[in-house]
Amino acid sequence: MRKPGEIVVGLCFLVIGICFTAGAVKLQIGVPTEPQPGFFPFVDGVILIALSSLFLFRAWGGRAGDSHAFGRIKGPAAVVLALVLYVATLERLGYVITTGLLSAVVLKVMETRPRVLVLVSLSLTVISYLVFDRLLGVTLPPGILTAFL
Amino acid sequence: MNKRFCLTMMWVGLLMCICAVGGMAPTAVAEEFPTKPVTLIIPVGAGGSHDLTARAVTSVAINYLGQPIIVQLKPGGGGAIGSELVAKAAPDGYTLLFGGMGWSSTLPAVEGRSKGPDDLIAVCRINYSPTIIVARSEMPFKTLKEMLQYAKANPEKLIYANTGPWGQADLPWKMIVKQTGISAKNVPYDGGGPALLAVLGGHADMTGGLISALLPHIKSGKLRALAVLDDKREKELPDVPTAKEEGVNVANLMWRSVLAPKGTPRPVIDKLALAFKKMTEDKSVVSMIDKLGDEIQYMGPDEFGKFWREEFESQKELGKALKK
Amino acid sequence: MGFFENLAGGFAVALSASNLFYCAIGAFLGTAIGVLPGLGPPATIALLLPVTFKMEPVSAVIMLAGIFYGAMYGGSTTSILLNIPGEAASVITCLDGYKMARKGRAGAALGISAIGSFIAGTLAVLGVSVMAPTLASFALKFGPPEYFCLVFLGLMMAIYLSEESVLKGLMMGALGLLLGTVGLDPVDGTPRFTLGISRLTDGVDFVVMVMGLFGLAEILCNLEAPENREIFKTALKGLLPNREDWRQCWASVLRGSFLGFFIGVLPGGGAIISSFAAYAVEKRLSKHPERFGKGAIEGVAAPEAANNAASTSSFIPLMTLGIPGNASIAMIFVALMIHGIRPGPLLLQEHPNLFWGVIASMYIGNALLLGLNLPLINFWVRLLKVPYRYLAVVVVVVCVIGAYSVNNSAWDVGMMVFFGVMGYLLRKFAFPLSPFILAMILGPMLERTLQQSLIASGGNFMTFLDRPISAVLLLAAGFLMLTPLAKQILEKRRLLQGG
Repeated sequence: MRKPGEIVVGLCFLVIGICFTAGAVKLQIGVPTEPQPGFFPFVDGVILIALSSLFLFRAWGGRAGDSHAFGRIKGPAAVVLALVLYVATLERLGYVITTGLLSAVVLKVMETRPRVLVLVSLSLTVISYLVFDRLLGVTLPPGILTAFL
Repeated sequence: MNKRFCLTMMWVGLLMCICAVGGMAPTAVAEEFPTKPVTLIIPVGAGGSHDLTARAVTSVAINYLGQPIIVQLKPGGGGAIGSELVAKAAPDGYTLLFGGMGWSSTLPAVEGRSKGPDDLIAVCRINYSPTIIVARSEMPFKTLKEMLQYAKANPEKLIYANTGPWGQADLPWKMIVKQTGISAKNVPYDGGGPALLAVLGGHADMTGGLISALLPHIKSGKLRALAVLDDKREKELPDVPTAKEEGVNVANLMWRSVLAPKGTPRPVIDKLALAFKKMTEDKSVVSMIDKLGDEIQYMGPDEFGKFWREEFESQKELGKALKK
Repeated sequence: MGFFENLAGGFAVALSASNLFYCAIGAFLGTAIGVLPGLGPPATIALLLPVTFKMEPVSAVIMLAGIFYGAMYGGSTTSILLNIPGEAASVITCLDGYKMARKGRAGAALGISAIGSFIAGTLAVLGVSVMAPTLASFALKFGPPEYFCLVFLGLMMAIYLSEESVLKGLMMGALGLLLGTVGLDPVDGTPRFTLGISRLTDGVDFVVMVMGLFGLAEILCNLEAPENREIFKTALKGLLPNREDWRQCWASVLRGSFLGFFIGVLPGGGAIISSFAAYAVEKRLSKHPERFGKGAIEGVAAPEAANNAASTSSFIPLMTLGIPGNASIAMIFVALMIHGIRPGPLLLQEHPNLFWGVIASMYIGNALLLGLNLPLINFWVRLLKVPYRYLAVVVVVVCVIGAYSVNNSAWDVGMMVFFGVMGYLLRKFAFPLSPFILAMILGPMLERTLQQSLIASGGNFMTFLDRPISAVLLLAAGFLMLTPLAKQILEKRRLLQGG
């Protein structure tokens, strides 16, 4: 059976291989006696192109092997989205606010009751901040709460 | 349920206690430098002479600077990665670079990589050591002159292990090759340890390095020192001539210094330089440096800044000539 | 002086009250940092280094060595419990250790890794005390071509032991090598594939990558369906390995110790290659290779034994040649140098007390670590009884903090999320992750040794076959590659004949 997902993945590998190979050519390949920076990535890129072509060929014929079916991707998608927003706002808003919201989202996706959700995300944020920032000396960004922390 | 509630309350109470204690910790912003630990970045691998020297000197930092100095290793690209990191850091004196001739003069002068006196400013020099050229004791030559004859008779046969492009071993070897017209293979290793291992294992014939790493092997008879690349002989190797005595005009002094991002305020530089001067005069530091086989050769910010700039310009010229 | 007198002298040194104390401190600290992801042994040893300047040299080395091998004990804990490898050498432990935990056998997995580590550590210490000088000359035989072939063999093993198809393993290996070239060229330092982003000149940090690929990806997978979230609710079967477990894996522990001991002597990627090698050997020898990757206890026992034996034997190049084999050992080298002791060929003659004292302290340290880790298992296993939703949110927060603390920047958190999504998708399409990780870690070493071999031989590729050790390693790699292919062909032929 041909699976469109596998063909897309194979194409991704192929494109990555082509990009790196092209970049390696630009870096100068050199000769074996005097290899230049592009030598190793070039050889490796060509190998990846060959392998992913073979994979695509087999995927086209429906023989690329087993992949697992996607379940309900709403949960993972929500968490990834929350994480992207987290990265974007971490340094501006600070660790405490953003982490509180992030853990609330994760718990929400896991269908936690509201009261427990608030309690757990709040205590997790505060405990982790104290343990890592105060105890272990990891500097976490204070953000807009600088004045209070 | 009741039990769970009690437990929760206990946690909350505990948290509040911790919060209260945490809140009392001194977090006020003071005007006086330094108010927090200073980071000293070493852009090469652990266990080398730069690492050892930096750790010895900074071990007493808290006594003279009022704050500890945290040594951080950021090796890679022959020192370029760490140097670029420091050049880009905030010029507030909290991020310093442990400078070395290789990545602070040679690389920026010859290759235009890493960062030199255009992007960093000098705090002070700690000391220097000359490169020593050694060969496996099985090699059929005993002096630099004999080695040159051997290399001329057997072109492309000698394998020289350098410790990274344009590093402590590579640059002087390129200079020797250029001056004497010999031809040999010059294989890059990632640091003094791997290069030394290659020579001891017979995978390379010669290398150049510093006395602290080479001395045990010279004493045990596995390696033979051919020449010291300094203007004077080495204290611990009185029988080994300098290259100049052997008729090759090459010297290579690997200095170690403290550098700061350009734009660091002068008062901060002065404060750091003074603290480092006192650290290098500390009895325990002096004895540790002595055990490494080196001595303190402190040089202040202005004097060393001038020395560094001159070396940088002269290597720029050299680089142009060598690359031809 | 005979061997036993030397060792007795060593024990006299190591058993003094203060040295015993430092040994215990080192072992305890090591376990603690091994368990906490993001804090590695080199960083901890570096922090403690100034403290040792004022100590006796023997005590200093005993404590620092304790941290180093203690971390090897602790590093497997997070691999088994949360699928987050604490360090490169325990990546492989995730494969079967975490699966065992999901089946309610976390206790057995942790137990076998602690006891296996103890046996391996003890055997390795014995090996070091008997044949350190011989092994040093073995390490010297490895030049660039040998290293190249060893790393190549390590990669082939990672591909061979990936449970999914060999083609997918090869693709992941090649992808890992390519991503490993991002950053500065190891030979002359030219920036490559950095897209002008300065953060990328440093390459990708191991902690960031692994937390994303393993820790976060695992959470994302389990978020898909509610039934996945109750995985740890199954009854916990036994806290320690039972008799049946021992029958299955005593030989694995011995083989793992043996492999780890010899590969660990080689400076560079010794510990990590040996853990992969031990796993591959077990899978190859097993009568039921299909159990591997699904919670086979041998798949935990052998690599854990190997990485512990390797961490002990990695002291040999330092003590006999004065060459540190990895970042942690380099710190111990520094501690010795600061005391005016130059590790090298003369160490054994000049400072016999130091050498034998440290060896003896390793015997004692291993016993201490076992005593410390066995009672902890109970605690760890209880931790898994916490409902999964709470465990998951803790893992997410720990991953975020771990990634942030690498360079104190949100950029690394972003990279971690990127690798998390990548790991999630790759898992969906059944692409194996371990060849990718190993290729990314060993890629720069592979490239450097390839270039060294080519320059030294004048561009002659035959140099890899002309030298006996490298030829054997290459043949082994070829053999590993060909067996699955041969199996496929044979099976097809059988099917054709049968049909």
